[in-house]
Amino acid sequence: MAVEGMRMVLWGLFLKVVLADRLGLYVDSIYSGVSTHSGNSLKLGAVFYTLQIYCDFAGYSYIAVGCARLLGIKLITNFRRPYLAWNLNEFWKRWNISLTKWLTSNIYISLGGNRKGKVRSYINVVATFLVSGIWHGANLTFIFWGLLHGIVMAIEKFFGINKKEFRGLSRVFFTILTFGIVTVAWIYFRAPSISFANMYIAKMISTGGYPYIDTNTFFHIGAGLSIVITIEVMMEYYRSTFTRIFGCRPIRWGGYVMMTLLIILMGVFDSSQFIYIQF
Amino acid sequence: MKRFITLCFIFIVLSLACDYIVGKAISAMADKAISGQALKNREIANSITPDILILGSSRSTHHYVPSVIEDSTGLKVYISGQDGNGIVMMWPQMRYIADRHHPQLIIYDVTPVFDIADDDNHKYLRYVRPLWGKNIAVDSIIRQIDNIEPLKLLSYSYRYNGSLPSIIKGTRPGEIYKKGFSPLYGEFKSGNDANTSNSNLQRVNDLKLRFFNDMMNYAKTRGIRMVFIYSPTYRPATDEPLTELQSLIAEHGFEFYDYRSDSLFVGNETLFKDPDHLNIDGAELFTKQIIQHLRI
Repeated sequence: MAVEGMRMVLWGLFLKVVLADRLGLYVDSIYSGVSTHSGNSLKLGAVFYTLQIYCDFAGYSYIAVGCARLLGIKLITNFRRPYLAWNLNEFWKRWNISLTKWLTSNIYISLGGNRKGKVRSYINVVATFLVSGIWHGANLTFIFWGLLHGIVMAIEKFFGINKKEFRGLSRVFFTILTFGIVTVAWIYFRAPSISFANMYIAKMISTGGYPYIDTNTFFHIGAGLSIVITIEVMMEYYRSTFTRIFGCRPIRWGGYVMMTLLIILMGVFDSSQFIYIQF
Repeated sequence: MKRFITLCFIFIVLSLACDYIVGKAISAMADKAISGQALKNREIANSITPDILILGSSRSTHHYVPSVIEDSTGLKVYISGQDGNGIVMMWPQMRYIADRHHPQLIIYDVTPVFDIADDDNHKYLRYVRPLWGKNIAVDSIIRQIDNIEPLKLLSYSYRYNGSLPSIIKGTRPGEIYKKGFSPLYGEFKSGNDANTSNSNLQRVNDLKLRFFNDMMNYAKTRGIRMVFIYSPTYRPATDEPLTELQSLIAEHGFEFYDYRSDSLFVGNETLFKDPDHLNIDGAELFTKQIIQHLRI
């Protein structure tokens, strides 16, 4: 259990300092100068924020859960590859699992859940996500973000998409679609106001242009992301192969040492905080 | 428990060994740089002996044409300024160069967003870390920025944190910043521009001001002439909080030249590449003006 704890701390640190904080440098520069950046820079900024908030929050959770395991306490894992979800219902089963469980049992089920008819169940979903938005802060942007998730979840429920298990190309399509919806919603979450987010989205959609590319930042992000994507895709779709490879001690230990070196060489060691510290 | 401690020990030993090997390998790579930023860093660390040293942000690297100054004065010029950097990086770097060689004149191109604004000073350390352990005064400056930094710098690889792409790029033939100068070509189209504000600029960073003070004290002690310049901007940036720095410069008896509102440059698209940077034509014109004003 202690070794597992150390492994989780190492992975959490990698997500936080190598990726989240590096992505944050790019995202901050885009969000602080929306009017001066091209539409393609804004698209990149939105996608990078989607990845940043995951790496930041998941990194934070892995470090916390890992530390608890080092002390002999077993906490639930809070993230399970959320961006590989093929609908929002699935996304919320994988994102901030502890909060989702709390909201489901204390809000959704308390309001009647599925038991009071279809229409009421849609309203309950929207209401649950409205509470989730308010929980994040007293800003209209969070409320709008919650509402957006609630409405899309209700639509998925209406069309029965939430219960479908997609395979092959349709799964790829719906995974990308879900990622897109989540990315747009995160713009409201990150923006200081709804009008700012609307302006961001309008410019992002209506214009193209050369994206702002800082080769140094992109090198670090590319290297870090390729590792995270490889591990997450293998864990999701090729779990047995991953377990077999990782079962080989030299490979496993090589992985630990490489991860440590990458943290030292590529991590951002400034005084940045965890995004979720504010909630 | 015993097994866990043994495994942790093995992990730490392995990591330290790899850190040392990788750190030394990167250091060797950096020492063999033949182009780009890595070559510039190598020159600054090992070989330059300028009579006129120019410090500052990217504006210093684009606004002063060394060949124009050298042709006019017969003095050797080097621009050690760096993109996105200010006093937190320039002070240790200037100390490192001036301890090795005595320049006659130091020109500091002021950029308030890097030199004054209250932001995270860690971000300016990237190119200073490789100098750790090579000069006691530089080590002491790094300690003032963050007293935990020396602990982190025990790691050999950490000294190259964030620099790997430029070091790898520097091993191949590519762009060479001759005497640290990086000319910009093309003209600015003002339609693509929008005014931006920086809220950090409202607060002055005390450490940065202290570094300016230390830098000026050092220059005075060594008898080096120091000149501070706010080089031209497309828009006159007159609302920036420069008062404290200006009074500090005056207190030390050094010169400050402000070109923010110079009518020759303000609003002249043909002389700029973007609102903050002169193009090659603007840089040549500005350098000639500087030579006249400074009487060098």
